[in-house]
Amino acid sequence: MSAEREHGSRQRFLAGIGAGASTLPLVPGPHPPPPPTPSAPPVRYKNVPADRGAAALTEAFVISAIEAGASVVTLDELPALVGMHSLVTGVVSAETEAVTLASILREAGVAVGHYERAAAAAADVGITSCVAAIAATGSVVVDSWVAGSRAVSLLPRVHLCAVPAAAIVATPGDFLRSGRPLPSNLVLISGPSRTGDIEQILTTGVHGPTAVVLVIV
Amino acid sequence: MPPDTLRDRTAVAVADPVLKSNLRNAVDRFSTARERGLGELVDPDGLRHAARAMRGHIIGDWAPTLERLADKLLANGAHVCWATDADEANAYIRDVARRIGATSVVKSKSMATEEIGLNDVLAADGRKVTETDLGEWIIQLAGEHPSHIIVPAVHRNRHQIADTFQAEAGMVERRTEPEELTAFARTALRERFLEADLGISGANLGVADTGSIVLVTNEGNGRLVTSLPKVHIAVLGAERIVQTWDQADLLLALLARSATGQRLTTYTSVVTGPRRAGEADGPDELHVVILDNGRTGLAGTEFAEMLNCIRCGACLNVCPVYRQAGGHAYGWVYPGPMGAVLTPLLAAKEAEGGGPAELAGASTLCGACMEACPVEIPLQDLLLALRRKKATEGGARGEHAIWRAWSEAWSRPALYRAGNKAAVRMRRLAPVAAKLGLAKRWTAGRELPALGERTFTERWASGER
Repeated sequence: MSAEREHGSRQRFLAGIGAGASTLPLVPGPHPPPPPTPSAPPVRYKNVPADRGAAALTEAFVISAIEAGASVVTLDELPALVGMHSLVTGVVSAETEAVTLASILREAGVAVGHYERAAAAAADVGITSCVAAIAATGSVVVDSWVAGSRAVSLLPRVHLCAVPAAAIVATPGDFLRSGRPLPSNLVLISGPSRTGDIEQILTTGVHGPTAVVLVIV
Repeated sequence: MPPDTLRDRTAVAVADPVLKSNLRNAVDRFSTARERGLGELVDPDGLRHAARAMRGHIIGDWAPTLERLADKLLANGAHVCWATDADEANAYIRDVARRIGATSVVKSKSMATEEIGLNDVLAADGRKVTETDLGEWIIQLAGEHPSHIIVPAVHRNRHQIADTFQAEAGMVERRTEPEELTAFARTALRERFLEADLGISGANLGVADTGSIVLVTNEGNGRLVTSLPKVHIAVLGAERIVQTWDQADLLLALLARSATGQRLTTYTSVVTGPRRAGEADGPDELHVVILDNGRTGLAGTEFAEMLNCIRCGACLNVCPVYRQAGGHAYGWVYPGPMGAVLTPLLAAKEAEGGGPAELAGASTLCGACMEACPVEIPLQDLLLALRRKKATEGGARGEHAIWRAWSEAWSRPALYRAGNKAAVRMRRLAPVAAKLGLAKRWTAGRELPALGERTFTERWASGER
């Protein structure tokens, strides 16, 4: 049945590869290519500590996340967010940690419901957790299968994300090269939505959240 | 529409003061940020070198890699379209839009769809197409083309953008602060996202091992386009592929740092098949259009390394020609050094002005582009190869004759000396001659150095040391 979803001619397409090779003689240039190899060396980052202990990784992650434009708060500081960001309504995704944060916000007076597109588009805050967080880049990784949706971290004005300390890895490679099964949609989020399209002046919240708030749990 | 010839387009560009100051500001900022971003990696030049060898392997193994990618995409539930040219890609996308009865289409920035002119095809078929990247939306409203592959509206300032929003997007109360303009765009475009039936994006990478498409955006429009509409179509340049996630990791580490200096683009999305049962949102159909449009013919040629390009824009930012002229001078979709190479190779017939090969001449061959390229494409070598190709294909017979005569004369001592003597004797005529004919173009902005009263050989013979 997958044949019904293949369109155009694979054979004709692939026959085009190298079809132009005979007409243009190869003249070696002054900078010839190195021998081809499939291997991709690991990428090493100067801003992650050699010490890969939990405390050191967490500290490096917090620094990177703040540099990417996110803010990092503790659980105690959560209620204060409500006033700071004028939070009235919210939506929450399916992860346990997200549900925990949602109940804290509910106690602080925010009307938090489950994901529904119209609600999310109008909501002040979207609450998720993440399947990984990356110290080198300050990114959180949200998995559409685990979260149950894609737009909770996208449509509301503020994205509040629980970061389990145990989920912090050192580099993007530690996550991307791990061979973890992929959901239909996985996103590495590094700070708030941003643009520099008008006179290269950095502006946040052009399409996605204006603010990303992380809570290490 | 830009003027027809490279000379005229360049003249328009260098006379535009907004373009000049915005462009310089942007490219300087990007270049500085790039150096800082790459400087955070251990041995960035080693990584660039490794990326070149790795891209060489992938393109060398192109057909099997594409087949694996397609098989995995199909297994994940996606549709795959093999589009050998722009017409096939456009027709496929138009037919999908017709079948689902799409009235509103949202797009995230995609150079590949610019290349095939998709928007015009969909608009002619009665679909409302909205570009959702802020810069791309601004120029769509203004009826222009991108002038930079990363910041398409770099040639416009806040006042011009406010003019466009008032005239074309219904902005009632004039606002000119970038934050206010951005907020206006958020509100206007959010409506489009929520009403859209079809989302169309490009793709930064296809990963064969898992049949995934990687899409990066800073604004989040790429996420909205791939999350909200019921159908998502991604247009993937056939060469923008890797085999493994190890390879993807290396390229992603280099891509954002080379483009804007960021550690990672704000949103790096990995799409693996359509929405699955139990997920509350996401497209029911995912289509991946694998686009050839002249690419496969480059494999095995001296231009094959151009296929390694990951479209970061770093070569634009460091190019002394691009910094002066901006993107529109190049006359087609891709500007800067990568555009000067890619345009004649991909678009010989589509490019306006009929002379994309002359783009290879619009280069100083300084090599800054290769120094900046994250996959070390030897752009200056490829520009030279294009010039050689143009010359051997008989594009410059007059020039050939002049150089032949020159080489003939200069290889005979008597003729060489006679020539020098004649030049010195007629030196008073030189400033006049320099203002005439072909020489005029060269001397219009330059002083001709004064010639001495005697030739070097004469001075040497008379014992002058």
